[in-house]
Amino acid sequence: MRISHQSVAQRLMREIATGQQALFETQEQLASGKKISKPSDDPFGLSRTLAARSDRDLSAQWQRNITVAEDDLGLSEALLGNLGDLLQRSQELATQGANGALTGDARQQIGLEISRLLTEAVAIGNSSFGGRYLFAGHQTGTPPFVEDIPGAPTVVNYVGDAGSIEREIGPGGERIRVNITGAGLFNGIYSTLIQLRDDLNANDQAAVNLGSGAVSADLDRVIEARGDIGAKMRQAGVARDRLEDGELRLQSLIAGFEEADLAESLVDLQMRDTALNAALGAVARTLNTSLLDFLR
Amino acid sequence: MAISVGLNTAMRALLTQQAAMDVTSHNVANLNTIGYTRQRAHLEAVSPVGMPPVGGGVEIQSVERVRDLFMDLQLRMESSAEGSFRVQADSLALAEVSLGEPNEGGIRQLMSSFFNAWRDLANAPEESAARQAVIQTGSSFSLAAQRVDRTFNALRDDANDRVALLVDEVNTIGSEIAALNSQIMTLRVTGDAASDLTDRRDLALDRLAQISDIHYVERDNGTVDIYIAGRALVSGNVSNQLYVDPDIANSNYFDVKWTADNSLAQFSSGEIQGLLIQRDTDLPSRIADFNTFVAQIVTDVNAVHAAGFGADGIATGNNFFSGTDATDVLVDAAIVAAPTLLAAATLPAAPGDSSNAHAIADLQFAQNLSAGTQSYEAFYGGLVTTLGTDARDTRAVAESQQLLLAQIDGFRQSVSGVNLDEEMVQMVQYQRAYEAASQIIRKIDEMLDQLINRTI
Repeated sequence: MRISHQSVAQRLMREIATGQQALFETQEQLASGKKISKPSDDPFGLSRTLAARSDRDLSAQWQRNITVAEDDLGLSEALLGNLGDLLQRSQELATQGANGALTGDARQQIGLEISRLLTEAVAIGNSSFGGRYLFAGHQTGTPPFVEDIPGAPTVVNYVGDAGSIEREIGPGGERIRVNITGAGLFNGIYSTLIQLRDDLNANDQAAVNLGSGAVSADLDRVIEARGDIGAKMRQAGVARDRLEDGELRLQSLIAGFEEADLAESLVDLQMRDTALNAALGAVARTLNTSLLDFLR
Repeated sequence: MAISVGLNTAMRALLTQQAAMDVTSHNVANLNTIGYTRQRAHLEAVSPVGMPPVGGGVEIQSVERVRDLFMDLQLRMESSAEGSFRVQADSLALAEVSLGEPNEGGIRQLMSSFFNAWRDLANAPEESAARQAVIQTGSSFSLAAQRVDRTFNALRDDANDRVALLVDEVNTIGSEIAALNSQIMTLRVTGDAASDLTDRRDLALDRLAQISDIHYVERDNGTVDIYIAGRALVSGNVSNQLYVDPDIANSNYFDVKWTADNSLAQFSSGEIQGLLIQRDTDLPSRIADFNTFVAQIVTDVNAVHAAGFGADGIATGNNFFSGTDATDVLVDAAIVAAPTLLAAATLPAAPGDSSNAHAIADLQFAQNLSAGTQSYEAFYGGLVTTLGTDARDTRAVAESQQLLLAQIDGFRQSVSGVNLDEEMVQMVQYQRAYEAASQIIRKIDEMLDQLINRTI
């Protein structure tokens, strides 16, 4: 085949351009550490990583939600612990008050202490955190327990609702409820303590004796509620472990598709650099070879 | 036989070798001229006259271009395809970058952040910071969606502008070729091969073939007629013109029409066709898909949002987004002004209720697209993958087409291109022949000297 002067020049220039382009791409990969910088670099790899990135975002979100849920549950747990201690003390007082040898005055003294414990129990029911009342159902903006006569209630009214507060902790709408509504648990305790206080004040030994049993039953319910919370915290922990494992898998999946292999890129860079040098060398030699050098 | 015959023969040889050397000189001078076709002097022996029948020496029969017309045809056919794929690949490359994938700040990430902001709000419906975050991520997503829509449409506008420029160029080339045709025809009549004008015309044809698929016929008189989809662009020394006409039915984008009868010009390949495909078919379908995706999110989020209640426990029936799709989506101005309107609660008068926020976050997994088979993300992922695949494949076709062109051009050059070494050899050949001819003149001169001065 005849070779024309122009086609030699054009081919060499094309080879240099191709070599430079290839070298530039590898340099870019090395600099950014990324194999995929736009969809066309690897459309199918990209669609996998897009999904994986969203899953990773979700996983991070759910882990954040779990932390929030654990805080909520931990707080309720601690408050129920206080309530349990308070009931423990009430039961001791009730047992003491049921003692037949006790005078009416002594019973009234005990009644006074029960009254103080009642106030404290109402305060626990009205606990708030970050401006949110914890045991109010959805009515988180209002103290849920209201004494008809402040300081000496004959009845404590619940003004919250039965609303459930839930945290999303995993795929498929996995949610855990993080609140205990006051109505069931707390109202029972309040009426038990009010009754006990009144019976003590009325010096009704038999009734106080019955009241002691009621306090004991309330205590069991509080312990049961704490158990529930413990179970939920374990559920949250399991969900977190699962998410953390998954996150590692997602990270390596994303990295596998998107991130450039440093060693591979360096070898590529070396190879492409060599190829470009070869092309440049070819230019230097080919363009200088001419019959003109020999016609003198 | 007269001795002067030999002198004449040698004289003719001198002149002929000199003229041939001029052709070589012309070739060497145009070594780097794009589109130049090397020329060859065709030498021919002059037939003998009289007795004895000794030949009359040499003369230049013609100076001709060395050209393979079949290669021209091949090159121009492939040029049209290359032009079409190249402009499409350029457009798709810009389109795919506009989505910002897979980087942070891409549509996927903004959508994911938006739904996660609802999850944060679900964790704390009472907190105004969480409300602000929902509004802010919603705005980011809306604005990015609008930006993608605008970029896609800007690419269509750009294609439209370029169609107009290319139509101008076609007209210019058409007129130029018609003028060249006329000059070539005139020169041909005088026996001139008009090689250099023909080179210019061939170069113009090469460019025209990139812009549009053409069919052309070379006539015996040296002119070339050019047809676009069967209609004459150039016929002899007459060129027909094209013009662009805004089409009201197509966003005022240009139709390309023939000036002669206002009928639509047809292109089946070349840059104009590539641009028209991008402008009228490819990009519109991508824009439509993207808008389907955005519109679904807008509709779904609004429906759930309107059913919920704001922080005051009363406000309900409000849309979260204003607008309908990527052309105009925004977070509703009322909500931006009063974040308490955000409906995190399903129930009225329940400030701690965040089940509506949960419901909106759950939309992320709902399969509401593609007739209830795809989530937003899956649909969008498909859109990105398709765009990426098309961008990659179109680029690959354009590149392989460029390689093919380079190859054909190499073949063409191997016939028509100037090789310096070859020209040097020719130069030596002509130079030696010239020297030899002058030696003959000297010898004849000596013979005449012998005859005239020494023969008494």
